[in-house]
Amino acid sequence: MKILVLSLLDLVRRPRKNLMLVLAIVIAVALLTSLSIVSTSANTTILEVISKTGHTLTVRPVITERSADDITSDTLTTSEVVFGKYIPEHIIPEIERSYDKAIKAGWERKGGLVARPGIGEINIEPPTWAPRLYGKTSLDGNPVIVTGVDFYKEYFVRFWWDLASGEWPTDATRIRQAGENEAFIGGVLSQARGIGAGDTVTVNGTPFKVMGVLQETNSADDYMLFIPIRAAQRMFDKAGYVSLLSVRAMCPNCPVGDAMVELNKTITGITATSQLDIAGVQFEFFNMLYNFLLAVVTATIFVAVLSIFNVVTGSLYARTREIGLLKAIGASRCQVLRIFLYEHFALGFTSGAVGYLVGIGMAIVLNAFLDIGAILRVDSHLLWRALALGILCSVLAVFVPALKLTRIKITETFRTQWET
Amino acid sequence: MQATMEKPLLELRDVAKVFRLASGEVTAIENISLAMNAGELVALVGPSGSGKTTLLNIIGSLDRPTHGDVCLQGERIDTLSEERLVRFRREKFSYIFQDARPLRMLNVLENTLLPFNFFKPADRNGKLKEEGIEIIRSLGLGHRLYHMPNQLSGGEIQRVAIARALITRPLVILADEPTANLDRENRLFVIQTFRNLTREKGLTIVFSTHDLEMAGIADRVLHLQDGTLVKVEDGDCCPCPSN
Repeated sequence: MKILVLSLLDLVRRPRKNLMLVLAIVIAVALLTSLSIVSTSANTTILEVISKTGHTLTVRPVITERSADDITSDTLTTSEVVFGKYIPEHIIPEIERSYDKAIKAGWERKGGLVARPGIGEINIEPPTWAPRLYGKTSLDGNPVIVTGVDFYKEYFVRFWWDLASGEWPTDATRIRQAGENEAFIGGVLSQARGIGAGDTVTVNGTPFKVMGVLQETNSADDYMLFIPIRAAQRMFDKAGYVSLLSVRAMCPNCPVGDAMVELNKTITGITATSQLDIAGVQFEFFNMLYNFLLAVVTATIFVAVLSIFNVVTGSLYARTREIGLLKAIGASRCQVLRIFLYEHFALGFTSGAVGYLVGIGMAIVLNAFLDIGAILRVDSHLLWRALALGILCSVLAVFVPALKLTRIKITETFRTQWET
Repeated sequence: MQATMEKPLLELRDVAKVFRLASGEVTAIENISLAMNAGELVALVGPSGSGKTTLLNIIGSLDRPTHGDVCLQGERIDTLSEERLVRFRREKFSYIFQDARPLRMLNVLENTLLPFNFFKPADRNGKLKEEGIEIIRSLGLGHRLYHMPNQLSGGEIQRVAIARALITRPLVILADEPTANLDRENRLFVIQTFRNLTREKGLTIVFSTHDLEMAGIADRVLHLQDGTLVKVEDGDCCPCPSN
């Protein structure tokens, strides 16, 4: 039987003795693990949004305090959809010019457009501008958001769109020439109303054939019926107006932030927002929240380690006679110390593993109950970190008192009144 | 008169031990000189506080004297480094304490073989378990080999301590009040086992006791009073107990 086995036997045959210690470490590790999983997953989800929509700029009509007051209860404003305020189509060319100018200036500043010998100028494809017009009406007696789009441009800008059923027209010409009476429907709306591809819906007296059902995107698009923008302008009597313009920049790492600043500065009546910036703010918020919670959890762990230290010290002093006996039968100081270190290594390892599993459970619960909405991802490094933390807490707590106790003389261990 | 030319196994010369406490110095033992031969059973008797345990600790190198020399087989052991002392104790000494219970998580056989978790004699590899079982059986615990300490009586626990002391084949066994918590039957068993071991295996055993009846079984009885050796008697000074 080796010293390691001796240590493990002590743990296995006296499991209740170390319950408090295990519990404290499990809580500490679980807190850190769950916090780490939730924050990392939330940040990854945001980063995915950034990577997906990072080069997209959205231009909306500006909503001042007064115009916000002008929006009646009949109109609706959400973070994504604005009703009752419009951008005149005649200023779109001006918006496009400002955008192009800002992108070019941004690239020149980065050196992207500076001609180098033998390389020449980098070509930038022109951006795609996709207009939308939002309107509220009813469909079979139920309210519905009808969004007028240019199918070709919309499909190009929202490249993450996919169809759950039905089919896109296979060639660009066909998409461009989508019939005036063709429509697509958001996934949630389709399910709620029982409308599928191939069905015909009648909106304000005009029949539309549903060509396809969009897969859910966790955005307002899931609740909309998409029809050609000219049909929507006629339907809502908004010829020459759009509710929103989405721009997909066609260059890698396009300086869309520069374009956003330029548009907001030069064009009155509109407000441009970069998805990158929105996601960035969310990202910063999560990081701030994570750092705050990390500080709280670290303080908790510090207190827990102190408690563990006290528990372990008490538990070790109760084993003074055992230490004396081991030394008397030939154990060196180092060997006695190893017994306690092995014991606490095993305890820390077990606590770390249990804490890791509990932490995953806590992360799932936190994500659901706090409605964080992140797609949870468990990094494999997290397991190693949990084990390391558990072992560190446990071994650190035992090291100093064990070192001190192994120095005690054999004769003193039997003279004292400590009981095993 | 014929002088004994045999060199003593263990020798103490003018040994004293002074404890320095916050309240002042306390002399536990002083001016003790004695010699013990191989195969001798020695009893230390005296009232509480007379210095029995201190003397045992010094003989067994568990403590160092403040003054004087302690020699085993002619080699001074009171001046050895702590590291050498650990090795020395493993090879030469075994201890039986009054209240040194076996480790609770180990069974009788595991407790007997416990010393070999920390060192292994090279010449006995592979035979240790058989030897442990044999020793346990010789002490009447053959039916308790795999029992845990909480399933044993006080007398059986002390036999486990004896088994553990014997397994390392020491030269000297030191036992501090080994019969203190036992009934008469078990007390007799323990001391007579000691006597048999000294006779049959040539072990030197030194034990302390308050019990003069048990001390009488020893070859020599050393009487301590206030830290000094006041009388040395042959074991037959006391009536030989009957079983």
